[in-house]
Amino acid sequence: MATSTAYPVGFQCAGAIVEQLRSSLGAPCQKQRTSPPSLGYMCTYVPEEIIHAAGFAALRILPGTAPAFIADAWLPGFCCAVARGCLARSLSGELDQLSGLVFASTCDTMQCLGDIWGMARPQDQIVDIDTPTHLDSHHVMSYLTGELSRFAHEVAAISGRAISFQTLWQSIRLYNRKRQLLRQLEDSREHLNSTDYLVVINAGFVLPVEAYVALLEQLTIQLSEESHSEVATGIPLMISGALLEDTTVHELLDELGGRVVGDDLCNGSRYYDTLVAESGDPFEALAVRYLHRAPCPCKHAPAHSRLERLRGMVRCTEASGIIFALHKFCEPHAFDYPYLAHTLEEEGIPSLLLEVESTSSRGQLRTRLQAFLEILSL
Amino acid sequence: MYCHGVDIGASAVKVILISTARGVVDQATASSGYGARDTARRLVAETLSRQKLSPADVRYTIATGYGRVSFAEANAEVSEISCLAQGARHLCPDAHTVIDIGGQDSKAIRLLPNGTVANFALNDKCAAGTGRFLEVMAHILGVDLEALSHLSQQATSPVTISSTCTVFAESEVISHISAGESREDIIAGLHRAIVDRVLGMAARVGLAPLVVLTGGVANDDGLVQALSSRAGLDISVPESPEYVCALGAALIAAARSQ
Amino acid sequence: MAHRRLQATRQLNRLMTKHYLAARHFHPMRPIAYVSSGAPVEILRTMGFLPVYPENYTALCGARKASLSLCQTAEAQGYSPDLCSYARTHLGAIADPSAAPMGGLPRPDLILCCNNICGTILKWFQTVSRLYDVPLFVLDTPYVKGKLKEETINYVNTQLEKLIQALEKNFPRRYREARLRKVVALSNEATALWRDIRYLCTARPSPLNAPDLFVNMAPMVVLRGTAAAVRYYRALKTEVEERVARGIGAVPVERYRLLWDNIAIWYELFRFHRYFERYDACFVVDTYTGAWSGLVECDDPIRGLACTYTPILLNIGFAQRAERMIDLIEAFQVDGFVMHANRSCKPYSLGQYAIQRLVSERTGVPGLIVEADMCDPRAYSESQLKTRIQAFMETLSMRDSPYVGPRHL
Repeated sequence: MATSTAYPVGFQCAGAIVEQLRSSLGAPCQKQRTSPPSLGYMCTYVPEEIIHAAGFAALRILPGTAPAFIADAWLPGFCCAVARGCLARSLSGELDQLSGLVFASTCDTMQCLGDIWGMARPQDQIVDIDTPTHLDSHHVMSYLTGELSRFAHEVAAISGRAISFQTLWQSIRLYNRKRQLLRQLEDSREHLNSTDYLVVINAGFVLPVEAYVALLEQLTIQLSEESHSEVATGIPLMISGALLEDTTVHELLDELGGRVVGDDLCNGSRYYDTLVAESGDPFEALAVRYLHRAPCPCKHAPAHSRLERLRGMVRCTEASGIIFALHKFCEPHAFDYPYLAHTLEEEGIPSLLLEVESTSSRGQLRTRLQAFLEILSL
Repeated sequence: MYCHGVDIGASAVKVILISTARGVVDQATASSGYGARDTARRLVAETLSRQKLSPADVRYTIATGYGRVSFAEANAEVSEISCLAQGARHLCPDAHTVIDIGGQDSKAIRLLPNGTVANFALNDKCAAGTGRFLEVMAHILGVDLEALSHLSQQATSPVTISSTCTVFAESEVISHISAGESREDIIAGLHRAIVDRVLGMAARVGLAPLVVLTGGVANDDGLVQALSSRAGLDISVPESPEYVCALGAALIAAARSQ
Repeated sequence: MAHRRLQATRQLNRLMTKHYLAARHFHPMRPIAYVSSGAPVEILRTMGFLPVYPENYTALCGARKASLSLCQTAEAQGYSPDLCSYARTHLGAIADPSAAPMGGLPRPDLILCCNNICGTILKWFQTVSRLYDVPLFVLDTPYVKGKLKEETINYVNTQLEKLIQALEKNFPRRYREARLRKVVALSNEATALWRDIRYLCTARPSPLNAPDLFVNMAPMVVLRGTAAAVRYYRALKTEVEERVARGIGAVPVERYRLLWDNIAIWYELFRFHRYFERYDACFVVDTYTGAWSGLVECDDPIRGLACTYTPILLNIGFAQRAERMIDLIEAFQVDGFVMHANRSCKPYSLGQYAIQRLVSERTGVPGLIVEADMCDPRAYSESQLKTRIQAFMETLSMRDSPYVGPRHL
């Protein structure tokens, strides 16, 4: 657990909110909570709005600290720590309170995990949703819309609560509000250190959306009222990768004099950058957002879209460099990395590759980050 | 009628001499060193001279372990998996899962009701999860291997060792020492690291009672306790756990000599 | 005893050489298409494209022991050593054709990728399409757990129709349904022949061993839909039938019949399986070469392609894969199975612990998991593999006669 920054008196409220969000990430809280009933998911392509409209809370399963060896009976060594960690939590009983799990079609590992989970935990209710690989409407609009609608029926059957267009729009508006607030929060990045900022985002995945939105409303107000103070200083950096819920890298940056000014993370801007259009058919609106949101590299996006987005973000945030924090055995990100890094390098944007795994030692990460920051400060 | 079981491990050679009438009559062990084969010959000769026997009295010899292929004096060589299965089952008739933590590798074996091998897994790719791991760490902590057991049982708050690689785990231990963690807590953390590694392998083949732990490392009670509490199962450790494999080899030799 | 060489091998070598030469010779009259192994290539053949298979090429690089240096070249460019070794081999060959067998593959004009085999092939082919700046066509075949849904078939069907339209728009090639029917019929004929050949191995002794299956599956992949493939498999089938009639086995003594799961270990193909001959064991069947065994319905050939290519082995749930393995164990009277935990292939390898336990429980037949890689020799450790193989074969032999120790000891 990172120690929180000592905020000056005027920040007490913001600081207190951050602490509340940090404690919501603690395992005991999650274990005991059975109300509201929740469906767990692992990828952000899962439509939370539909889960919510059916009367469930959508809970993102983060890897956690359950002993990974339990999962060794089901997964070989060449598998990312995210999949292994989530399965280990389930096998050790930490997720027993969930009413079910949702698996979307994303990367090979997640696809295998969804399959293995069903065999390792036959008592779990598993719902699959096929989220297509294509991201152009030409190919997938009708299929995706149909799949979203089918998913809604399946989830409603579990909760016993039919989903009307009205309830679905309500959920969509609520999640849009969440995303909007998270986008607004970016304007206050310099008021929070990098670790706390990440904690705030992570908390949004485990708290029920109503409670989180309420806290975010308060937090954004508090932070914008303190516009004259800057808490965070340091060399501005972008961070790019898949899921990076572990705060070690951010803590080290705070320690070493780096500052995260923008991110291209699964638990970051890729989650909230695009809203759902609030008109027309709700399933079509959800499908359109699916196609237009910042893509995960496991999808078939136009050739240079990821590069363009990263380049744009670096320019906008005036970052001095990018950290690619990639999980060992994560193929989609590792295939894109050389092209992204080399092209950006040629354009004068240096980058650092950090291979993270559950067994990474803090010392090894520290050395690399420190060296990178030293290079950037020359 | 006598038979020899010769287990030529990477760290130590173990020899068992059995008589079909009286059971185990002698045993001997020594460090493998560079000339493991010579060590094996020497130990075999020792057991014979102590029992006032000659080589002609030995009907069948089976060699097993890392160095088994080069031990020409044996009538046959058999894998450690088969030998461990035989030895463990003989000593513990209800054995279901056998976990062996040797000097440089570790194994997990699941047995069928009739004692034959259902499934097995080996870790011989890295030292983590083996006796070598403990040796390296004991050295850094400045304690004898024998002391590890009672020290770990005095731990109050075991540290976490996250590296799966022994070399990097060493650096972690050194950081814990500089951070002022107690020896006891560090050793308990090391035990837990080995146990997790070994249990991961055991889970793959099927971990169910009765679990039998063999290999030299089983003499470390602290580790046995850590294994038992982590697995949530009782662990049975035979007397002279480092000889179980050689015993199994001798039993197979006895069967084949008939 | 020397490995019994099939007569057909000479014809096979000529066929494969012609295939690789044709790619260079007939271009630019016929556009070259890189194709993934599980893609419905019949569409491309119908329209006169020349299909070239990077997966087959990289397997060949593995077999010729050229893959290691190519992988290292790719790694030097920043590609992680944990990525699929086929992809690393190919990317290395593109970066340094001088180090690649046959000087690498000819430049493609387009790439067709179907993700029924994995998601990695999409990333690999995205990278290649970027390097060559050529269009990439993607066929998205959703994973099938349980029943193959009507919506899934329609989605794939629609994509195939759009693919044809896009190909006609971008290249001077025309699609004609009558021609597709002819190509599909040829595919089906080769598929049926290959299926028959594999089933001849239910004989005791088996006329073929795993290496024979792996080597002879090549035309099934790269020449599917051609008359040449049909001719080849007819000749091969005749030869194999003759072996069965004369009781000629692939191994000197067949005491144990084994099943192989996963892609071959290409750079040790013959030596690895021959090691088992020491234990009088023959691999009479495998799950990989059987992946091309579905016939395509001809009435509505596009829909037929969607129905056959979507539920292939790597695109169905693990419980179903286990059932297929159980069926093979029963049909081929298998005594033990060996699963290659292939680091490079997650869809094939991640479920192996689960499948191994399920299959062993249901059939009582023991299984062994060996860790290696299909194309990267650094993941292959001979002494460790031998230890495991020996232990496993002893397990099989002791199953016949479990030793009940002298109780009085």
